[in-house]
Order: sequence, then C-alpha cells, then structure tokens
Amino acid sequence: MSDRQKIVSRLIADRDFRADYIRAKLEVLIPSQLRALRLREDKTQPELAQLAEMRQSRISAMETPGRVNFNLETLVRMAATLNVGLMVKLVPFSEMLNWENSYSQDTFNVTRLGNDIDFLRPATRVRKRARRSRSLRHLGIVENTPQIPLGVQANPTCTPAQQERPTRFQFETLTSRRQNLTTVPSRSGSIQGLPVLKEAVGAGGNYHYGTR
Amino acid sequence: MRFKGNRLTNHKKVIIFPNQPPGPVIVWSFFDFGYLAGGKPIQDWYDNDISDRARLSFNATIKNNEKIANHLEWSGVVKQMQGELKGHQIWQWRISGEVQYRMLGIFSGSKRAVFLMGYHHKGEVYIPRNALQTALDRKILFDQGAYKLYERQAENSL
Repeated sequence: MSDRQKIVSRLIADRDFRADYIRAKLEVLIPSQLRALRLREDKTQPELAQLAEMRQSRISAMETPGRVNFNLETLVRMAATLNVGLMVKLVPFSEMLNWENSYSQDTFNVTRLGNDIDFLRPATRVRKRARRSRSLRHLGIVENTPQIPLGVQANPTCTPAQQERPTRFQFETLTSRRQNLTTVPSRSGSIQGLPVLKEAVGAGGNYHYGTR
Repeated sequence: MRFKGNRLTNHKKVIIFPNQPPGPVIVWSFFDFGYLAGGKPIQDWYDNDISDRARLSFNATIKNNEKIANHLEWSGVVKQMQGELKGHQIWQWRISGEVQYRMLGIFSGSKRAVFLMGYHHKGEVYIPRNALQTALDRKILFDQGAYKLYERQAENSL
C-alpha cells in the first residue's frame, strides 16, 4: 500500500486525522496569505500593526505557521485592515487540495476594495438598467430578463473562485443575451403582433435597443 | 458578439485567448542529509519521531516554501540562529504540531536546500538532547563532502 493510500484510508476512518489534515494546511496557508498581501503592499510588520491596531509581535506571530490559533474575528480584522474580503467556505477535500497546489505566495494577490471594479461597478449597472427599463416601458415593452446564472459561460481557464464572478467580457455577453424583448398589450388593450421588436425600435425614433 | 471556438470573429485582428495559465512554478529542491554509510536520519525522524499532525505540517510547509523564490520570504523560517548555531549559516523551520518541532537546514547551490536535523523541544529540553551539536557535526560532514543526498518531494496529491 502506497503512502498516499495509507493516508487516504486514515482520512476516511479517523476524524482526528482529518482534523489534523485540515489544520496542517490552514496553519501554513493562512499565515502565508497574510504575509503575501503585506509584501504586495510593500508594508513592514510595524506599519501593518499600526493599521490593524495590534502589536508588531502579533503580526509576526500571525505570519508564522502554527504560532496563532486564528479565530474568525482575527481574520475579519486582518481582512478589513488589508482592504480585502474573507470567505470561509466548507469544501470537498479535493477542492482544498487544489487550492493548496495552485497557491503560491509569490503570485498571490487580491484586488483591494478601492480597485475592485467588479464590486464597485454594480451601482452604475443598476442605474443604467433602471433607465433602460423606464424607456422601454414608455414604448409599451417589458424587458424580459431571464435569470441566466452567472458563471454559466465561465471561462474554463478560470479557477473555481474566479468562475463565480463573470469577467467584464462575460458580463457584456450575458447582458447582450438578456436583450430578449417581448411585447405586452398596450394600454388601449390591443395586442400587437409578435415579435414586434423591430417595430418597437422603429417607433422609438432614437431608441435602439435591438441587436443590430 | 460572435464567437467561433474561442475567437472573436467580428474583429479584424483575431484575439486568441490565452491558454490556461500554468500552475505555480516550483523553484526550490529539498534534500535530506544522509550518511555515506547509508543512514537516513531525516527520513527516520520523519517516519518515527513526529506526530501525524507534524508530518502533515512538514509536507504543507515544503509545498508552500518550494514555490517561494526568495527564501527570506519563506514562512516559518528563522534565518539568524543564535547560540551554538550562530554563524554557521544554518536556518530553521518551525513546524507546527502538539509540540514545537524544528527542522535545521542549510543551502547548497542554487535553489537547493538540505535538511540536516529534525528535532523538537519543550522549553530548553531538546529531543534528541544533542540535536544542535548533531546538526553542526552533519554540517561539517557536508562541508567535507562526506554525505549522500536524498531528494524530498511533497506529494501533490496529498
């Protein structure tokens, strides 16, 4: 029986061993991420300690595997200090292993809140959609926006984490698909022929909502 | 927008999406010190003297640090040793576990590191007791060329 098979057998049989396995990975990867993000910002431990309102020795301990038993509040505090989000997610062992294998402290980086266009943009997106809906309603058209789950068109080259949020390019693709317009009875009660997208576009004068 | 395969066709210039980015590059190789007579002290320590948790932590540390180009950024490393080991260019890794496990090592050539001695301690009590002296002895043997090296690779499937 190979070493791997032995370990897998023990993982299946022994709860404590499973806990050790998870702990061993987190005890290395969490400090490594904290260190990586600090280094990406060109900050020293004292500088980060000042921002986090902690002692430098605590930052040092947090960056050393096994020195600190992280609790959620500590992680939240560090995430807030570093201007990034935090996900604590229960996942299959295989996903955890993939995460570990694909992780590199040298390349690990997280977009900070100030530069997070994907997070900052939706406010604009909502306003545009509301404006467009108002204009369409004016023409007697209700926009049919099928709920395409985000990530359906996800780029297969993305990691699972990246696939959860579409890129700008994918977003534009999705929104262009959502422009399936249907008509509803006008206020006078007469039903227009279907589809009337072209007519509506024509009737709208300067409005061009159809794909051209 | 129109797609053909993974290409946009409504552009004059065809944009080819980049292929899947390769995984992190492994830049460091790690070796166990071995005696010319055939003893494998590091492997023995790994097999017999440490707990399951420490063994898993050791592997996780190797997997993490082998991808970090600058050894000064390794996690859990002590670069400047004090006491007996001061000035011998020996570094130390902290390995988490129920007790404080340590691994002493040296650099050997470009992006190659050699593990000299594994031990653990509770307070000032080192186990094995002569751990630091043994590490120094092995360093001397290494400098004299009286050693064998065994490559240590952390398995990616674990």
